[in-house]
Amino acid sequence: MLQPAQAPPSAADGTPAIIKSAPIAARHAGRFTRHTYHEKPIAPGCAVGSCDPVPDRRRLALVVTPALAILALTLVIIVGDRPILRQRSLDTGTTRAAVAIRDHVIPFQKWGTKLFTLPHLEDGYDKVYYLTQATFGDQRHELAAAVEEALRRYDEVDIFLLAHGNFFIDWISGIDPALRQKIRLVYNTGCGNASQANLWLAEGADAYVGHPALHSVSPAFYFYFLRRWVRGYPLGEAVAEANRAAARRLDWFGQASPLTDATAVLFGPAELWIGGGGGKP
Amino acid sequence: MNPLARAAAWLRAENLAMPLAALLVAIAEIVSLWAVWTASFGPVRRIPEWADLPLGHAVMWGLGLAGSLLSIAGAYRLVRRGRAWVAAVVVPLVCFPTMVVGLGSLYSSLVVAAIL
Repeated sequence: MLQPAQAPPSAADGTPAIIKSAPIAARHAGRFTRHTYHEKPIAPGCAVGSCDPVPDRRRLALVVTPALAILALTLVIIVGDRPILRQRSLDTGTTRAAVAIRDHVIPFQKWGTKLFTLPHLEDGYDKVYYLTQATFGDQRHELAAAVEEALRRYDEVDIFLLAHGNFFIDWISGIDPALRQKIRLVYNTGCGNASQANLWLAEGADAYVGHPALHSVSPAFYFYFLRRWVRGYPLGEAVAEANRAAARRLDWFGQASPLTDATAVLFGPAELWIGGGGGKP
Repeated sequence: MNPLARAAAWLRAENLAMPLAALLVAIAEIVSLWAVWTASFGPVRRIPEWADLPLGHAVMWGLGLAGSLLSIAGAYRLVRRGRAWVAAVVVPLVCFPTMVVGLGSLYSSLVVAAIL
């Protein structure tokens, strides 16, 4: 058995060039001394504690590791979404505000919705009112007050109803009808709430986006939709792209069915965009 | 040699220390995010509202970056110097998933923060 302090044989004995120098040989000897659980000498190029020859696969590592990292990132982007670049300047001379409300769901969903929604809205609007319900029916007064204040202070107001099937329309019906005409876009994640389109348009909204399916997986649509909308996509294009992207993911994960269909329907002008007017006189 | 030092020496010798650290970081990230969303929207709010987003992003950035670096470096070392069969098992089962979690949280944070 090779003794710990014993240095490997010299190059003249036919050992590979890798341990030619004395310092390297000394290091090997030292490592062997520390790891005595394998009472075997470390052969040149071996992993510590093993006498099986392990070649230095530097080139393989340099190829495999970046390839794995690129593959991991690609997987993330494919399952998630590609970077969305701003389509055009949002500095159009009009002021706009967004009002969003999240219903009373589990903490993870409330937090996730806020984490995703708020930065996007703050990126695209001059003012954002973001509300989260703490109980069922909570924030009724706050929602009406936020919408009214936004309508009074800003040229255009978009409303995002991030909730299960709902009737928030009743909560804002007390606002002055003349003010309500400044409501531009209403997006509603509620299952089957596409049926409220005519009500919202009658209340003064220029456009309404809602989901017809009774158990719609609306978050799948919303994720792709909001990112495109705040980047300046025309409403019709944002809805169409988000519908395609959501349907593809639901299909991959076996969630696609008529009942859970995440498809949203647009009622109103397809050319509307975040920086543009709603087309009212 | 005590068992802990022996285990650490074995992990180092087999180039498994960094993959294990990457796995622990990924677990720590999930636990930390759970703590943040519970503290913000749990039955009792324990952090101020303004901290909801910065805390979440700090976890995703900090631990995401650490997990990514550890998993990438761990995979590199294993492929380069590890035993072939150990690398063949650990790289796809530990390094790659932790790479996905780490890079995923970094990318998600960028996307969520609307930078990209």
